[in-house]
Amino acid sequence: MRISDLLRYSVVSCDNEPLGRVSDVHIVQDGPIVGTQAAFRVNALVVGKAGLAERLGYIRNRVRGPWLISAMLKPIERKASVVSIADVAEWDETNRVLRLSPTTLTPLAEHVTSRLENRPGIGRAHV
Amino acid sequence: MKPAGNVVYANLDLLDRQLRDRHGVLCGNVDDLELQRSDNGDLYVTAILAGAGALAYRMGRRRLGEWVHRASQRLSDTDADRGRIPMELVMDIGPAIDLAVEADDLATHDLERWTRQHITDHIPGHDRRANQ
Repeated sequence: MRISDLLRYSVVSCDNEPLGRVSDVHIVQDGPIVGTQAAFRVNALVVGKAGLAERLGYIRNRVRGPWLISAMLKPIERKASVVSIADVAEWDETNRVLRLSPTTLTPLAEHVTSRLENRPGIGRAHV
Repeated sequence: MKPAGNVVYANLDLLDRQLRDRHGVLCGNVDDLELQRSDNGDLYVTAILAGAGALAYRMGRRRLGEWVHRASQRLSDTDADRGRIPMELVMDIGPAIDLAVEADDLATHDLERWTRQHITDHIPGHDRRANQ
C-alpha cells in the first residue's frame, strides 16, 4: 500500500454516516529500531476538507496573515478532524472506505496543540 | 492518542519535499510513501518513492505510473528498485529531506543519464562548451 492509496479512502462512522475523505496522515516515529532510527508508524488520519488552505499554509497555524485570507480559510480547518488508526474497525479496499468503531473524533486544532507539545524538532520548518 | 515520539504529517511535511543526497546535492522529490503492515497490525512507513512513475501513480494514473516505473527500471543497469529509498536512509526531515545515499544511486535523473550516454555523447561536438 502507498500513502496515495490511503489518501483516496473515504471515512464513515459506525452508523455509515460519511465523515469525509482522508486528507492527511499523522505519523509518529516511535516504532522498532530499523537501521539507526525508530520506524515511522501511522498514528492517525486527518479526515475532512483542508486541502487548499493546507497548501497555502493556513492550516495548523503556519501562516497567520493577511488576516482576511486567514479568516476566510480558518473555518475550513474546523471541518477537519482526526481519528486514531486504532479506531478504524474495517478497511473496505474494494470501495476504498474506512469504517470506524464507535469513537469520538478529535478536532484538528486540538490535535495540533497536542502535537506541538510533543514535538522535539522534526517535521515543521516554519513554526 | 497522545504520541510519544517525533511526529510529522505525511501530506504536509513529507510529500513533495526536496530530497538531498549525502553531499547536499538535490536529487528529486518525495513523490509517494510506501506503507507496510506489521505482524501486530500497525502500519509503518517503510520507504520514500521518488520518480515520474511514483508521481503518476499518486496523481491517479496508476497504469501509466507502473509503465513509467518499468521503463525506468529498464534504463538502469541494476535490478534494484532505485526509485525506492528505505526510511532507514533518511537522516533528517526539515525544509528538505537529507538522505544517506549518493544522488547517482537514485533513479531521479535516469532519463537524462541514459540520453547523455546513448544519444548526446555520440553527436559530433558534444564535448564542446556552449561558449566556445
